[in-house]
Amino acid sequence: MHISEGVLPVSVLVSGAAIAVTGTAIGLRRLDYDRIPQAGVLAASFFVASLIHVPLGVSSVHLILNGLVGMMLGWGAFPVIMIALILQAVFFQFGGFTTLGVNTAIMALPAVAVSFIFHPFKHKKTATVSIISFICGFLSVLLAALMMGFSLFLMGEAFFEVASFVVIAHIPVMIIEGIISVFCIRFLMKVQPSMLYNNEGVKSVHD
Amino acid sequence: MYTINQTDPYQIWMRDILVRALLVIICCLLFSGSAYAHRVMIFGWVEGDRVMTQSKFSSNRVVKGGDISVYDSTGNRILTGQTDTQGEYSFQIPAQEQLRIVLVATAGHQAEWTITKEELESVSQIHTHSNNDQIQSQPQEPVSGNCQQEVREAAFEEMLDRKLKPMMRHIAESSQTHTSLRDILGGIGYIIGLMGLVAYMRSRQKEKQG
Repeated sequence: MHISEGVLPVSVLVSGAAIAVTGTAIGLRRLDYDRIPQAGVLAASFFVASLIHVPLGVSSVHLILNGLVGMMLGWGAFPVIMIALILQAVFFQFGGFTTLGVNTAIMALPAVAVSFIFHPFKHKKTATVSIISFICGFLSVLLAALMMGFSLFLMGEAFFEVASFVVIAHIPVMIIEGIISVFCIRFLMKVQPSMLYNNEGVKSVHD
Repeated sequence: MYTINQTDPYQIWMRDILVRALLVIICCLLFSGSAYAHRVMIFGWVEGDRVMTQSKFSSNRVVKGGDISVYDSTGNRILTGQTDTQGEYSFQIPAQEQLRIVLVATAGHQAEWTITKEELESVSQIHTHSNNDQIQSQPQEPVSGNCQQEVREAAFEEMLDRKLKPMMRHIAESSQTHTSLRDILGGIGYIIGLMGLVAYMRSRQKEKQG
């Protein structure tokens, strides 16, 4: 899910960067003191998740975990994903600095989107929360794949062809991430509900 | 020594998070032990009068049917082709100038490799030198010790080429960086550092407000 350098035209890079900067600014404002450790843990998880890859056809796809980051942090997903992507670019040569904005937007916007789906349901019964978690994990990768297809379409590739390729390639990842999301959320509900429901008196990520 | 105050819920919460973070990181490291980074790369080397290229994903799988374009020093595309089932693509040296070889693999994955002018010259000089000498010397001295020596030299160079082939390839390949445990730990270290920095800044804000 990392677009390499030199693929996209400047206009797409600039609009991606604009979205990323705006999102990060909003995210940093929403990320209060008590959520910083959580953001750090999620950034580290996102950073290493991309090394766990699923071989597939001519290519291979890797875990993204953007859905989980979004469910936990809402808008805070932007700064977390951006930092992790910078470090992936530095250490693993994934993506690159010019495509940082686009890649952040591709992965963080779906994360924010699924957080809006997740939050109204998080106080419901365990079974409901599990289903919603799966949907959020699944959907975050699907949306990211569609956004990636869209940015490649702006470059001039046929949208349907590229998008369907990226989406099909990521179907295993969608399912795996859905399952991982269910496990993580259920685990947190059991052992550390405060991470999900916020500490008492702590501002909600959607205030 | 710093001890955790068991009655302070915030400290317990922090401790739990740190323990969990370590668990997550350890699990990820175990998982990723055999996995590689997801990136596409191409490397090339000169062999005789041909430029050989090898394209791979960083998971060490070859790129089959990847599109290859070769650009000259002024940026004109002079050649296009596709990698074979071994991820290889080779072409005759088109010109004695810097060549940029660009590989476009699946959606959004691109990599490039540059063959410098010097690299092309150093290899081809040997060849053209020996070839020219043979052509020039043949009419002048059809049968002579000198000619025999030329033939011997040519054979020797050919043998050297053959012997050096795996070496050249290995050198080109090893110039590509691979993800190591050090990179992973380094990245996590940065994240922890940044987290601390943000927490410090926020705590100062809090102090000022409070």
